Amino acid sequence: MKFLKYFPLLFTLLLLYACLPTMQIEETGIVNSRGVDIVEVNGERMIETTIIPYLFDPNADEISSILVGRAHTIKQARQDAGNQTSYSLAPGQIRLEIYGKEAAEAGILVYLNTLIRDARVSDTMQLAVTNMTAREILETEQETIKINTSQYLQDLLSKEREINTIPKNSLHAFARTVEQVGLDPTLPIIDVVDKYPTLTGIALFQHDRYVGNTNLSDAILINIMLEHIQNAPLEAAIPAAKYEDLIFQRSGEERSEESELIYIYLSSTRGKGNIKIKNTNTLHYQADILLQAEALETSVPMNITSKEISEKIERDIEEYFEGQYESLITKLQEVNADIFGLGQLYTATREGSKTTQEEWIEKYPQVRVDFNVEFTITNFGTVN
Amino acid sequence: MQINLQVPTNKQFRAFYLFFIIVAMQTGVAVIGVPRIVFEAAGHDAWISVILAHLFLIILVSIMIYILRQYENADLLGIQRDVFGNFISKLIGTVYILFFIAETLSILITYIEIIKVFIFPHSSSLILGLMILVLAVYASAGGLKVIIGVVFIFLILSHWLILLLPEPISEMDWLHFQPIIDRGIGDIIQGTYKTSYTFMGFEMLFFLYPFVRNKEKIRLPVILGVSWSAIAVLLLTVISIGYFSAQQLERRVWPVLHLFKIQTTPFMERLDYIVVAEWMMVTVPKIVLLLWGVTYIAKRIYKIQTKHSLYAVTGIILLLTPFFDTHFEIQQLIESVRITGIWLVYIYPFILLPFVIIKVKMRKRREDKKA
Repeated sequence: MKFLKYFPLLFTLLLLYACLPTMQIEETGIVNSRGVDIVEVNGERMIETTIIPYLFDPNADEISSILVGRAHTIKQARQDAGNQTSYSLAPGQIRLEIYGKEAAEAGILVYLNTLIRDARVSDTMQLAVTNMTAREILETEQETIKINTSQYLQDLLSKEREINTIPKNSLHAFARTVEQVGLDPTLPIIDVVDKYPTLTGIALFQHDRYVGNTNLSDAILINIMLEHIQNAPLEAAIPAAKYEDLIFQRSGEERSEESELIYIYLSSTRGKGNIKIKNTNTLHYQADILLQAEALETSVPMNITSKEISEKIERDIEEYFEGQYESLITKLQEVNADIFGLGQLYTATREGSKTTQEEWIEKYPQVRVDFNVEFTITNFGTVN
Repeated sequence: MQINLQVPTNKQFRAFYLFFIIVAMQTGVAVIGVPRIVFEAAGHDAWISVILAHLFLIILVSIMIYILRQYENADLLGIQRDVFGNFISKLIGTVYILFFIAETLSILITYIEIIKVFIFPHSSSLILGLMILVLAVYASAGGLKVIIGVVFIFLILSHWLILLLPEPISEMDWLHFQPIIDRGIGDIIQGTYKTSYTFMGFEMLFFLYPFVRNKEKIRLPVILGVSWSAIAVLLLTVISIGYFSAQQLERRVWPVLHLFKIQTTPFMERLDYIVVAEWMMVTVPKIVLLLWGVTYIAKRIYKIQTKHSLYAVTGIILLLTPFFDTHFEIQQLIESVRITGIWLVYIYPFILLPFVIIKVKMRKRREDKKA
């Protein structure tokens, strides 16, 4: 009788196992990075996907090897790649997707949709683009990187994200920005430099299309505007002529003529930007940037002895960054990528709340932004 | 069928527990999708819709309490009998039974769909349904006191999920809320109307009232319960609007689950899997209470033994589960439950109110004449 009472419970325990297909880890290839390219096959545009699966099977010759598949949809391309291996490919652990130049220029929203639709794909996965083809990058990675091959590119990017030198590149961050009116996303660019896959800059997008790129120092400037930064490395240049008397010279040594600028290496302790809309009719914006940093290195040895001198340097650095920001916004307007989200500010006002993406693309080049940088050097390290 | 019920003291519970019952009934599986549904109607002013819904709910439960207080110890079935007569009371009671069954089914299949989409795409609906229903029947068969215990414990066990919200909050963009009241009042009211499926559940008060020991203290826990669920929905709506861009929110079927998708811990990479599993703690109490409602009404109007009706109803629900296996079929069922619910839960008390007032006044006059 007692047994009968507990029978239903035991019975459900059996059911717990029965309803799911099993997957053996030794028979599975874990896909953790994937490349997406557009290729022409017999005059037809197809998606080519490159995969480096991670294998747990101790009998496998190589822990990972490259698989390439082609099809009209990305999921089918993965199936096609799966035909090259005896392991069943599990995409749940995909941590990085790289888009080749051609695919990125054509727009990557279609590839994102499949990632978002699939609930088993993590929202924290990283995205990147390359100026070559994604296949080349993954193949180079496979050939040159010896340690932790399939993880290398992820680590390369997440390391930079941790110190905020590049703007967010997660699937969630990109998907959120891409469809927003008046806010365009960025993604890091990975290219092969000296035979190694290297982070070379960031790609500027208009909607979901790759329209231009800029270097890593601009990436930090962009990031100061988008989020608070800390510990990011910065470099500033001040005119050498103004500081002639401070430059520390050993007797008898001639200062080289060509160094007209003094470069200062700064480690930011605090950085944040704030953009306000000043006039909605003329589209006039005001951007205030607050920066605090430690000065850790000067390209020419200098004696900084008083508060006045320190402040003088600060003013020059402010001017330098303002100039940098102005050339950055000109560049952004040229390629028509609204990375700072000026359009978003405009749509948040009553006058602009009904603006569409197309209308904003037309308006964006006429936008004027005044940059005002407030810079403070917190200390000069252990040397004055 | 009597109008007033004689409930033995050992079957009564204290008014305080109504708080947990109301919250459990209102925060079901629908909470996962509600930010999108309200957003579709009211845009970034959706949060105003939720606040309006909250105010409306307070008025509605106050009216329900007022109706119940006109009688000594009656439930809705007794009141209907007094006001409309035996036949109509039984008819509306039967509609309630069907409504509760449909609501249970809609919750069950929505939850199964979520499990299938998020975790196990190849699992069988029938077996998943059986696993949940076995639990629910086990709790329901224990009687009202056991049910309240289950509701109490499950509610506390599921509320730790709130602790996971700070991360999406930190990613919110407050610009998404501007300009405030950009959409017309019509849209905002439309949004309020759309919350109706989510906020359904407080109708259980009509059936639980005779079992409350200290009836004079009923108002506070009920209003607190309604407010708790409204604030939870408001919080999730506000976070969703800030966290997602408008286009994203419009297209996510279950935005609340996506809020947990960016969370990782060193020992568990995908916390959203835990959240999907944990949501069973939110789903089961509501199913348990609905099953109790079905068996209670069946016993009251048809004198069917609780056990018989419980097994029969769960059997029917279980057999129906595999038939609703595509997304749009499920949405259609939810929509029809919502429309029925609007009449039965939101409008019916307003219709009942004048009848009850007239009836009570007539009775008083008759008693005065006698005296």
